[in-house]
Parts: sequence; structure tokens; C-alpha cells
Amino acid sequence: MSRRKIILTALCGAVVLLGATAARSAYVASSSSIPRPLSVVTDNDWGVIPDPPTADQDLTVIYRGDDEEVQYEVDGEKPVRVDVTKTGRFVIPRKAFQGKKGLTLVAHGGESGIRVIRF
Amino acid sequence: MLRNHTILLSLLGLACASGAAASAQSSSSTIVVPASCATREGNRRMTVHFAEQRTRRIQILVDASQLAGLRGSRLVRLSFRKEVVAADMYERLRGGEVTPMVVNASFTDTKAASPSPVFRDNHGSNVVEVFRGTVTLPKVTSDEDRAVASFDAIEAPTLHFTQPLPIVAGKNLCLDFETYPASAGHAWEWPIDAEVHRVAGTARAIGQACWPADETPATSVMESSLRPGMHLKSTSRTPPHTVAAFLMYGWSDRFAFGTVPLPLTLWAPNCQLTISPDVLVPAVHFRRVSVEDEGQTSQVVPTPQLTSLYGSTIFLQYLFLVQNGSPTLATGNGVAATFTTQTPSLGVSLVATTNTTSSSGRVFLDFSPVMQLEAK
Repeated sequence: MSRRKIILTALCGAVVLLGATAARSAYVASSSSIPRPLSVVTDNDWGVIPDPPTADQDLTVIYRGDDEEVQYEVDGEKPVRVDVTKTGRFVIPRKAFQGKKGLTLVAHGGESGIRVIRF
Repeated sequence: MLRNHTILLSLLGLACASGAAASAQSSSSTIVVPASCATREGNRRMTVHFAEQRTRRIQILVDASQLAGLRGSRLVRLSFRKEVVAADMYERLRGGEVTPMVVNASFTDTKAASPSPVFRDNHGSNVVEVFRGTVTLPKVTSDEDRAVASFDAIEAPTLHFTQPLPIVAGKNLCLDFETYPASAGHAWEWPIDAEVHRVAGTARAIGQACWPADETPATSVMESSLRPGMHLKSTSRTPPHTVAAFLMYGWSDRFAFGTVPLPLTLWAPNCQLTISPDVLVPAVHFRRVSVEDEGQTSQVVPTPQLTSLYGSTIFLQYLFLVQNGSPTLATGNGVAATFTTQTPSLGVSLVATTNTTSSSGRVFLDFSPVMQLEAK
């Protein structure tokens, strides 16, 4: 067996193993009968006004994370980069949403750095 | 005569002594942390302390050098400062917004340059609960033309310590805030002024993603996260129909596992492994509006506080399992991420989490809210 095949087999095996473990963890978490403490709150780095957003209003976006630059991407359009060092707040005009199904807000924050908005 | 004189001198001595004692008791001092922001606005803001329905644990480590101006024996008050650059954020305040909060504090040997992500490890031996209660946020104007706000209680969130903290000279201060959710019935945030010393490493793309990504490079690393002891932050676009995302970390972009030359084609025609897959971890990924669109993934991973990591390079690359008909593998571009060679210099750092039951948080070096501390 060539080295390429060994590495490919190892990677595929790891992918399957990790995928199965993640799926099992998700199942266990969702089916657990143990109530989670009310104080456990993991929230997103993003806030929007209005919340929930609608396609017929300007959208004010508030970023609470520590990235210096973030981006938003309206459905089917090129990503737009925004400097958030000054205020952490920016407005996307409603005309950007005409005929669109949603947008994505992206920062380097792991799970909390991404917010997908569907109208 | 001599007796009267003696009595008079005794009385005078007593008066002087009691005056001095009274003077010592009433003497107090205030300092601003970080000292560099005493008379100017900080360069960032924090919205994490005070907001509608927000839960946080934030530990602030302040080096002893920042506390040198404190005179007195006990810490009795702490105030945060209003942000003036983003003052429009205050327009949603209606008055009476509150944040329930518990503050524990201690003097410690842990330095701001090297905080542990584990909260308990940063405290000293004598931890005092200095505040437990509700902070009422002042209703301030959003119309602001000053260069910097004041620490006057009329516009500065102020915590009068219910249990003063005895000052230990030469030690560093650990302030540990736990905020709990409270609802005013409407969305609001009360940002506070903050200061950051930005230090960054460098990130270089290796190769390219093996699908026609709408933005290149598809994978990026936040350069200011390339500091030993902080958290390395990366994000990537994902190909359409992604069903699983993984992130590979490696020590080389020349040989996989030290023997197999790179790049190595994993999947035809051009999905290449460009880094050694020494560590493979799953990553959360998100679809955008449709499964036909590219999606997004991101991961944050802690990096150890090792001297040897300064200036060193690690490599990373995302790997995707794609299911569009038959399953295939896809790869993002590789990234060579080089850590900074600069050590922390602000004298204040944070450890923070949104989960108050967690024993650890994310480390933010050289990051501080602008605070005024009072000692008596």
C-alpha cells in the first residue's frame, strides 16, 4: 500500500470515527433527561436590531467579540468586510435585502462568531 | 506651673496623635487602570458587563505596577467609564436598567502577562466577596461630544464594595465578576470604555481551496490571536453540500508525519493536503441560506503559554466531508500561522466566558476595561 493510500485511509477513518462520536454526543445531549442549570447561557457574538430581522427594514448589526474586522454576506452577493474597532456597530440598508433570502455574519469566534439569518 | 505645662503638652500631643489617626483613616486615593487611559479615551469598548439578559464571568488581572499609586489599606470602590466614541449605543436606555453581579477579589502572584484559562488558578489564597448585589446603570446621553467621559457616579457604573479588600503591597489584583441575567423588558447594552494593546502574528495562505470559493483565501486566521497563551481563531468557507468539517493542525508543510512529501493529492482533481495532519479535530459548520451555497465553519483553540511558542509557526487546514451524490473529501487552503515575538505589555489581561458554570474561560492578553479604583 502506498504512503498516499495509508494517509488517505487514516484520514477517512479519523473522519468517520470523529463524525460518529460527534453524532453520538449530540444524540446523548439532546436526549438527556438531566435539566441544565438555568444560569448556563452561551450566546452569540452578534446582536441585531430589529430582532428577528426582516427584509423590509434596515438592519443594525452589533458585534460584541474581539475581532478587529468582520464580514457580512447577503445571499448570493460578495462578502463585505467591516472594521469594528471603532464602534462595533454597523447598518446594512434594506435595499441590500431586496429579493434575498438571508445573510450571514462572520467573525473568527468559533461557533459564537457565526450567525446565519434567514428572512 | 511645670505640672500645668506638662498637662498642656500631653493634651497637645494627644490632639496631634488623634488628628493624625483621623487623617490616616480619612485619607483615600483613586487610580485609573490602565494608567495610560487616565486622561484619554481607550481604543476599544466592552459590552459584556452590562446588557439585557447577559451572563458572563470575567476575571481581570491587574499587575502590581498598575496599583503603585494606591494609598490606603483597603480597596473600597470600583467604577467603569462611559464610552464616548460609540455613545449612540446608549440611546436605547430607558432608565432603571440593572445587572445583578457578584464580585470576588484577591491579591495574587499571577501576572497579567500569563493568566491561566482556569479561573481558580488566578486567585490568591485570600479571596474576598467584595460585592454582591445589583448595579443600576446610569441613564446617560447618547449625544456626546467630549473626548473622554468622567468617573462621576452620575455617568459611571459604580460598585461600592460591601466588604473592603485589604491591599497586599507588591501583589497583583484579581477581580472576578459574575454577571447574571436581568430583564428590563427591552434590548439594551451599556458599553464601557476599554483599552487593548494589539499585538499580532502573521498568517500566510498555502495553496488554495479545491472548490471555486467565492472568496480567497477560503480559510483565514485572526492574526491578533497568534499570541501564546491566548486562543488561535480560524474560520473558513465550506464547500456546498458539506456534511462534516474538520480542522487539521500540523508542525510541517513539507512532510506529512515527517516522511511523506507535501502537497499530497487526497481527492482528484486538486484537493490537496498541504500540511501534516498531526492533529485532527471536528469543527462546527453552518449552512447559509441553501445547501447549494457555500457554508461557514470556525474554530477557537487555546494555545499554551510557552516561551518556545513565541515566533514559532504551526500549520492548519480544514478538511470537509461532502455529500452530493457519493461522498467525497474537499480541502481548504492551508495556513502557516506564525506566533508573535512580542510579550504582553499593558499590565492588565482578561479571562472570560459566557458560561458561568465553566471552570475556565478564554484569555485576552493586554485587554482591560478602563476602571477607577479607590482605596481608603
